[in-house]
Amino acid sequence: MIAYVLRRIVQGLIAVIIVLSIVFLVLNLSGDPVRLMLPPTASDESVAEMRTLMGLDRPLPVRYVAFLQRSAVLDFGRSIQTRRPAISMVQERLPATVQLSVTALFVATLIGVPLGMIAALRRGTWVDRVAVLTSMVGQSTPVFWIALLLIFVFGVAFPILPPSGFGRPAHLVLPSASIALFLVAGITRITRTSTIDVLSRPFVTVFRSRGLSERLILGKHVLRNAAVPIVTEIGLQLRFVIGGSVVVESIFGWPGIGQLLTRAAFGRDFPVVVAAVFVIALCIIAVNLLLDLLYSVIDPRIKVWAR
Amino acid sequence: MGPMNTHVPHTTEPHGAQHYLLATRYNRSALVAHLVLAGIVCAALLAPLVRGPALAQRLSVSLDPPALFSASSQSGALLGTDSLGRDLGARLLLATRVSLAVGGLAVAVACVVGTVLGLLCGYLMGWFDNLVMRVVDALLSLPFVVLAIAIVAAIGPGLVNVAMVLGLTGWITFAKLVRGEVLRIRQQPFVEAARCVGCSHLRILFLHIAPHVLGIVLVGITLTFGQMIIAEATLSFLGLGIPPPTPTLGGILAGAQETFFAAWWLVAFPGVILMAIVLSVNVVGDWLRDYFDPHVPIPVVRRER
Amino acid sequence: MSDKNATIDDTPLLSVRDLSTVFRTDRGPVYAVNGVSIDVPRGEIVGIIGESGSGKSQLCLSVMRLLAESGRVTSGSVLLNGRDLLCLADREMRAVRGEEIAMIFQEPSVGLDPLFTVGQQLVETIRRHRPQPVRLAREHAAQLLASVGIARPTMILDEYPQKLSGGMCQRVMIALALSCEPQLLIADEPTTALDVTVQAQILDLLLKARDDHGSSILFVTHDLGVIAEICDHVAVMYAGQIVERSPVDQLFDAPQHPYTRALLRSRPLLSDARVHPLPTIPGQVPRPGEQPQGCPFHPRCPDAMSICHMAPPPVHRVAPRRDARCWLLESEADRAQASEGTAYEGENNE
Repeated sequence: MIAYVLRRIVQGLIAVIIVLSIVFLVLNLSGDPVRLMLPPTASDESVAEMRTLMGLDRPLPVRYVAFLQRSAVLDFGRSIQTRRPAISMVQERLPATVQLSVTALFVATLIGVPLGMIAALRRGTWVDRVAVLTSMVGQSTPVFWIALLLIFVFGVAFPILPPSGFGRPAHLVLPSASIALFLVAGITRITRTSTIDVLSRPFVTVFRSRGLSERLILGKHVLRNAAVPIVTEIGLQLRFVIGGSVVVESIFGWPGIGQLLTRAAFGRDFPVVVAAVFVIALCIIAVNLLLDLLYSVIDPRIKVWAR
Repeated sequence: MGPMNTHVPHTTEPHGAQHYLLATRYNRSALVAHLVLAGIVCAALLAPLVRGPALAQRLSVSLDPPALFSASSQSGALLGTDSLGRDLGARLLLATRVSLAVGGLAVAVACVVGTVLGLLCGYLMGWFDNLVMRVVDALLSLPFVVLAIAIVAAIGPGLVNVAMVLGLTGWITFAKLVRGEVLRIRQQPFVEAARCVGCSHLRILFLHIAPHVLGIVLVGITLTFGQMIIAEATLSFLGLGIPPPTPTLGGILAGAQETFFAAWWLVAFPGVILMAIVLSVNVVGDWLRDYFDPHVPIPVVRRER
Repeated sequence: MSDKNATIDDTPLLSVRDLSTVFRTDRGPVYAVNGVSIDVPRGEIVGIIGESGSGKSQLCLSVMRLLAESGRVTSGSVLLNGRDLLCLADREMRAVRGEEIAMIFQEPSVGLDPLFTVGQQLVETIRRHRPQPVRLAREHAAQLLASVGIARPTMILDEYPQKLSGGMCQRVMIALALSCEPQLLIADEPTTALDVTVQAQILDLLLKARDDHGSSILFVTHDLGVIAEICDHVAVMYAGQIVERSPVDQLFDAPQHPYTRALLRSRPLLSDARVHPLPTIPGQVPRPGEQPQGCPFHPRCPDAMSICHMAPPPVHRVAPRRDARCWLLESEADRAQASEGTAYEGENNE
């Protein structure tokens, strides 16, 4: 198992290196980054000076190797706007993004899983139809529009929640709800499908024939059997959680990585963009590794490390 | 057309497009989705007709409520006006057109790149497959939007740029779908047979295998199209997509943020259109997936209840 | 059986009366069980035999009230100790299941939750009916496994079901079923999925359960050999109906219904040394929902008469606890009368 974890960590690192390479290539092949960074009126001398300063006068492969070497020690350079190390700017904002994403995932799971199970149990009834329709609509609605609607309803029409800000728990409600509503759709859908599948298995009838209560059968046996696809879905949704938080942070003024990334992209602050992309990729890869290990906890038949 | 042609014998099973239409007729939600989608596409095609005065700025009627719901409308604009007094309905038509165009272009790029890579991966396997799949894994560890933002930061916003960015981040869906399908197909006897009679690899790949992945590619198109449209809207909303004055659904929504309290219609209508497009594309996609799945029975006659 | 006993315990343990079960399907309602009556006396093993699709399993599930969602019991009663199970609240019915009636299923290997150990599942069931500390329940579980002939019970308790063989799983299932010493055991083809050698062991276990606890058993199978081996009484089921009921020896000696006779003929006999093809029953069990008019067996019956196409045969009592549904058993006069009756009805309808 330790060998498996090590192998997965190596794979994850390779993925991170590929991500960094792609970002490096895009930034360097798409024209002269110095020209993009400096105002169009900048003189040729200052361009040349900047180029030397950033080491851009060297050939591309040399720069690529140097870039990877510096990335290995988390040195992505200094922010062009604030002159501070890019990585520490990202680090400072990591907790806020984690707080937002974890809350959203937690809430979405707490709502989506029971909703999906109820829909599966009441298959074909109006409850089921409403759940299916809602999840279909939910998956088709852009997160930022949900966010705008929530602000409108709870921040403007019935002003009971702060429409922006950071710090108090109340500030967390609307941003995390915006992401969660989108997630609930996916989780409900997969829970429903998975539960319907498990309910058709013979052991459910066998358990009923022994007089076990429905709550025990559903809450313990059916849920655990249905859990692997649900966890897979949550792993896949993780990208959308972070993607959603990037947008939502900008709307609600939430001081997380997403807001930083958007601003950096605006200001063509490449070191910060690279650092933010790096940290996001790292987080997603790490969480997916943990979820993989969770499979074998849920289902003793799955030995991921045996594959 | 003679009387012979109008007679359809009972025993003939409908084929091709006719079969598809018949099957779609009896799935109510798929039917509605097809109609909504067709309506939106038609509207977008007609959009160039609304040039001229409808798009002009008229500050005197800025933030005018929709004439459709409000008697106090001064401009007569059915869906109201924005903060510069421009007719929202006309702008939405143009924006929808832009959305569909960018989405279509992005899907085309993603589809071509992804399908070719997927075909090669599935057929060649080995190191090439390994390399491409590593890249796919890497891209899967990044949210669509984050990657797109990073690239837009480098190459700058703009309609074509955004379409390219989305296409070059969205190909992984196609690559994965097509690769899986090719791995399945290459096991089948007819591929073996083609190899035995001495067909070249290219011939086998493009003449014998490629036609069989069309179904899955079609499913992939509907799966990604909605994503692309949302991604474009998101980028434009963040100001990193298609810059004004080109009207986009995301851009209109971004502008609406400032006048939120006064003009609900600027938030409501673009969002509803966005949702209608994506929802109907997704429903059509689900339906196509069922349609091409040999395990799901598709009735072409109405089920008795 | 002495007369004294008979007078004290005259009412059967389980008495199914005129039970009908309907499934909703795309093609309209399907009658899986059609007016079935059957008794299971105390301490007896009653067999139900029939081909696949004859409604045997749905009959068992109807008794347990465990039908799939699309199925519903439309009429009849299921009396256990004189109490109608169909009238119980869900909660009361759950208390009956496992406690008073236990069921054993056909596919033992998929009857256990693959994600929990055998021990966890046994303990769960034991504690459901006999609340006690986990440690005690575990000891009880080990004893149960030993009693069904499992050699190293404590080891098996910590295994996951998929590690066990089919026979081992069925032993575990029987142990589970017997955990509360139920009065009635419903065994739905418990040996069909198993090897022949294992089959005999499982049958022995069931006989032992009857002898040790005095449990009655309702035994469903399509294997005549199994019926002959363990049952006291047998009911032959065809297309959702019971066509013949009889004590086991009499059934084999003198089958009354043509279907029973055909079944018996299609059975290989060791005494018959010559190798020749076994007679088969032509045709297939009618698909539920496509029941022919009249007697459901008439399309395949070698002795079918014109009346068989028109009217379903009545139940004919041959001897005490012995009856069959066949026009052959009725007198000429009765057949003629019924024939006239249906002809008259037919005219009226048109």
